[in-house]
Amino acid sequence: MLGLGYGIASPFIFRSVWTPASQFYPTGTGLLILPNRRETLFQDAAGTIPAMSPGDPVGLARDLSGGGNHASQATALSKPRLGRHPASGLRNRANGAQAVDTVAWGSGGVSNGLTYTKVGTGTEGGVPYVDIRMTGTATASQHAVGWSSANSRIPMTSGFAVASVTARVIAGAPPTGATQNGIRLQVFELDAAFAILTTGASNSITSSVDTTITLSRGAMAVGVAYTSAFLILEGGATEVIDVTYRIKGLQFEIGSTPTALQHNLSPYDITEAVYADVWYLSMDGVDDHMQTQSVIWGTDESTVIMAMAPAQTSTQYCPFRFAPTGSPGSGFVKSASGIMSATVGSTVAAYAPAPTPVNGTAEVYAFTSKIQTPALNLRRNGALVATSYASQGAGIYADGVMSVGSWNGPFLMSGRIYGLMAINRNLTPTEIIRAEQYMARLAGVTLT
Amino acid sequence: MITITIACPAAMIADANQLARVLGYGPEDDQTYGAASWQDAGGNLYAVASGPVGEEFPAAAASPLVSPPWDADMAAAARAQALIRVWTEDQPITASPDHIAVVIGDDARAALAVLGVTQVPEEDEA
Repeated sequence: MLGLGYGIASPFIFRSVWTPASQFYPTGTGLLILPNRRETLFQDAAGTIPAMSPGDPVGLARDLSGGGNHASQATALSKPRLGRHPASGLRNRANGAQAVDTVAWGSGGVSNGLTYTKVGTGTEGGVPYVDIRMTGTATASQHAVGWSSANSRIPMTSGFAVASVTARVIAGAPPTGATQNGIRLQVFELDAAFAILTTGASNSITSSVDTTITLSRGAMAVGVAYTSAFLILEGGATEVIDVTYRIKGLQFEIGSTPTALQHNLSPYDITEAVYADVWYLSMDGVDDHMQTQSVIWGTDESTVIMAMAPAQTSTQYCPFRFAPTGSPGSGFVKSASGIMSATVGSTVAAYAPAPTPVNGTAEVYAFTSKIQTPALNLRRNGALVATSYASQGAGIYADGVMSVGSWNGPFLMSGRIYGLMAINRNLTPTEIIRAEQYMARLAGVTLT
Repeated sequence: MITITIACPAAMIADANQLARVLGYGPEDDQTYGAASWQDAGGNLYAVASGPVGEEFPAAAASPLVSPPWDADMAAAARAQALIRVWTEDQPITASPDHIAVVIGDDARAALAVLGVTQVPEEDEA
């Protein structure tokens, strides 16, 4: 007798725990992939090398439905990569900005008479910093090195982008020439081939106390395809220079005002204080995709719920597809005209205009379909956005492989997949809501 | 790891897949280049591939080839290796029928834009 007072009606005893996996019990067939369950991910298709760290290739994602329909990819370059970002979203696009001990910051160099040396790294107030010393006598007016703009290209054609960084002088004296000599930010607008269309620069930092500078650009130039940011250390011509800066908190993001710092260690490894990590499979839109074994679907019903962040704006892609062509084949398809559709059979049976976020905003999509009494529903972020009662053909779904990130090969997806649940029955409205809530938490999405 | 993006001319796909089989992690890497579903401004077709490779990959790709534990057509791999060109800021290249163009960088779709290839519109199966 434990004496805890748990009576027969105690919720602690009789309340069952809802899990997405429990929806497959006892006879459900389908696929359940949850990248946050990293113990289910492997770098190789055989499942012998764990994929645990951000950036790891993922060659096998074990199916958590219990059906053994694992998704795999054996070809090295076609494997998605494991990534994480804060539940608050992915803002800092300065890739490697906080990876101060890596090549992202280089090890120094010589440019037009000035020598740049990375003389120290560490953490200050929880923020990684890098100390860079600039010495010598400049022989030209342009001699810049620093953190590379190639690490921060944001695809965008309009709006604002803003860079920010904190620095101070920790030894020596900063250049005394033009206000932009010393350490400063530069933001570029680039065309599709990365050629510079226009640029702007901040004033430099001369203080021995931490100083934050920001630089934003908006009203993008004609033909702009990307913005990028550059951190520059520069001295005036003929000036004898010996100065060391402590640099930290570099961030480059969409918007006109800097937000709270996110630590960007790589494109696949971004974290933020206070916020939990969300984990995802990164699909490159070129060749990344995974497939399951052939699956006996066995019914005329389906429910698919995905948390994902498509990054494409102009090409057609398919985040998930089951059942082969020639019979009712379903998936989420976004057309080049910006339509997110749930499809069954040879026609688009339901569709809804979808937003085209520049950087891939996470969303939860769900669709349910039933062939024999036609009904097809598409939901986005917890709200019904499209319904169709048009014919979906006849019979039941055909057997075949399930494809993650493509339409069985073509229509490759670029973006992030945080979770995927596909099952051969129509979940009840309550079950759908719970599944959407579950997926929303995986991706840091707020449902409507 | 670094990310590479490659545009392989249609006529070189078979050879390039043998090179991938030699430099890759297993025999399945001879599936690296699939259909030639990308094209340059002149309509020349390419297969593209993009993904993570070890930091040592650029050096390994330029070094004498070593037979992998699994069999591979070394002559075909050598033919492909001889045609590799790597994009750099100093020596930018675009995709061309006479070489296999490689870009090192995290953003695969940006790399393909630099190489000047776009997807051939696919038949809508939906």
